[in-house]
Amino acid sequence: MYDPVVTLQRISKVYFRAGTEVSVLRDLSFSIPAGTFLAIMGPSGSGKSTLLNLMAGIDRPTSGVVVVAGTRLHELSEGDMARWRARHIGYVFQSYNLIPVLTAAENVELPLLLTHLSRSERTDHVKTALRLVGLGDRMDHYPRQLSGGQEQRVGLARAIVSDPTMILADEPTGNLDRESAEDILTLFGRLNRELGKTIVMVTHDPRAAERAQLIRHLEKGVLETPP
Amino acid sequence: MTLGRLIFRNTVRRPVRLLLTIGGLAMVVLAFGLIRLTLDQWQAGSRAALKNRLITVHAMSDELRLPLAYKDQLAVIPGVRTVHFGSVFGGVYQDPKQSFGSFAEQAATFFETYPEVVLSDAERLAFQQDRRGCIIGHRLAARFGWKVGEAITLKGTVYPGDWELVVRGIFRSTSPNVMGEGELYLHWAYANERLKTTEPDRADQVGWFVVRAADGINGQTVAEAIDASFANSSAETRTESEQAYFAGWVARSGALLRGLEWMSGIINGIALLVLVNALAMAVRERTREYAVIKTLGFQPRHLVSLVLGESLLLALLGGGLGLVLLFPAAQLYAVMTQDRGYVSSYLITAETIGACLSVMLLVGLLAAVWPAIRLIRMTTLEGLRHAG
Ligand SMILES: Nc1ncnc2c1ncn2[C@@H]1O[C@H](COP(=O)(O)OP(=O)(O)O)[C@@H](O)[C@H]1O
Ligand SMILES: [Mg+2]
Repeated sequence: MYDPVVTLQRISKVYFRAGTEVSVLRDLSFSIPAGTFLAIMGPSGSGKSTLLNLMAGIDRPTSGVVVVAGTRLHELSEGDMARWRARHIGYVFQSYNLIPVLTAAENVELPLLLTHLSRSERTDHVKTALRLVGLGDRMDHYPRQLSGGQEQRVGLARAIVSDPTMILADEPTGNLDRESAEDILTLFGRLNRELGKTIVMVTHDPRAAERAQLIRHLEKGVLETPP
Repeated sequence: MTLGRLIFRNTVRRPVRLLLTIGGLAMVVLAFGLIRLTLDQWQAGSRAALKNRLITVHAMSDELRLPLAYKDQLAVIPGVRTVHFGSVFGGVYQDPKQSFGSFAEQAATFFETYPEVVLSDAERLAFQQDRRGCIIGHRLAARFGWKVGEAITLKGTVYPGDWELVVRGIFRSTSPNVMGEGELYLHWAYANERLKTTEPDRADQVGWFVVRAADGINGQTVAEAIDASFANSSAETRTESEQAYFAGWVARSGALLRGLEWMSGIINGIALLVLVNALAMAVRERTREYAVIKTLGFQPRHLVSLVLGESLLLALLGGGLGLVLLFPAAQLYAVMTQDRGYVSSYLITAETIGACLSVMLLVGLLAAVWPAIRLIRMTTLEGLRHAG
């Protein structure tokens, strides 16, 4: 157990676009205790995805220190960072991002190819994960044969199948109808409560954010704790 | 599931593009294969030829004829063991398009001159004893369904008229590049006899003599002695070992051969472009999927193997299809490139197959380089933002 799971110290992120600097995150510091379900809210363009991607190890800060799961991320090479992601991060995308030519089960199995699990162990893990998200009967369906809500549940199964330290989700309900969104949020709640998973979810939907234990607002590059 | 399965599914995911790509590659392999067969055919003759077999032709041109009377002069030249002779017969069966090589040969010396011919003693005897007899290669027999004992009628082009022949034997060859298996051989004496009445001016002439040098005698010395003895006659001769004869033939076509080699290089360049184009399109379309795979923690080498695997699979599918088509195409090609009724039998050897597949393998490897580099350079974030 890593506690806190995430520690950010004096993070800033500056993009250079057409000769001008765009400062997205400014001198931001905070930490996330293990087992937290955190929602990050904020208007579009406020830097929520940027912040999440720094924690996910798919982006690097312009300055500052990022420690996630006990690892100083900004010091890792690309290859090491990829290996680190495979072990510690389960990422849920807004647009599901399933591989269209693979079945639900195969999509979920994909991250397990990076582990030392045997074929039958992999199959067991895949079944468990898909049953957990309520898709035990859709294993052999291709993404195009699933509804948006079902696709996102496969995406969630893919994120948890390798039992990562933390689940990061960028607007996971942004493309879903109300009912499917509720299903996903309920699953996040269960993963957090029953399995003790640390979850960080970016959203601009207040009803989604309410399902988290903790809400933080990102505005003008600064994190605020709500009153 | 394995990455191999993902490679396979990616490869077949756009069927039309898949067909166009492997179709394009197959055409290249087909053209490459036919060029190879042509080059092989030219060169194999000189490799397989017998060293102690000398060919004497008219010094001015292979196509001019020599007097039959030279036979006796040749026989007394020191070092000469046997003298055989023959001519192009140019027979046509039913339809001029269905042509094949046919030759009028002195029957008595034929088998000792061409030990490559594999035929039972009974069939040899039957051929030699029947003036109207002929022997045919097994490929020719298979082509027209001819059987031993069957009477066939050929229309003569070099020797005019209708010719009734009887098949007396169907042979195989131990060296098909020198003694083909798609040809017909009949008695020169029979052909010449008729010519004496129809075109007496052209009778008693032969296209070539084939002289076998005695064992332990230098063929070159004998060849020089032959040409010297006919020097300053009305028809001077050019004598070479069969090997040199074929080699000279290759050398005379040198520029053409080099041209063909160049062309095979160029068409393989086309294959490379076809494949690079198809791969680049596919990889671009799937940019986002590769970025997702990277996000999951896969390494650049995994992405390289996905692209390389797809490239090699496409190349081998195209190469395989090309090879399958090469067999019927080689037959068609042989008929279309016939020379005065002489149809080469293009043999698709293991080497030809190997050459086609190795070239495709190389094309597959090279084609993957650029798309793979682009994928490695792409950052995960850029890839995830990629639309489509
Ligand atoms: N690669 C980039 N280059 C330049 N600007 C970027 C890049 N990525 C994000 N930005 C800018 O950074 C800001 C924050 O982006 P993002 O983190 O995606 O916001 P959010 O997820 O809150 O909508 C936006 O103004 C966006 O235009
Ligand atoms: Mg965003």
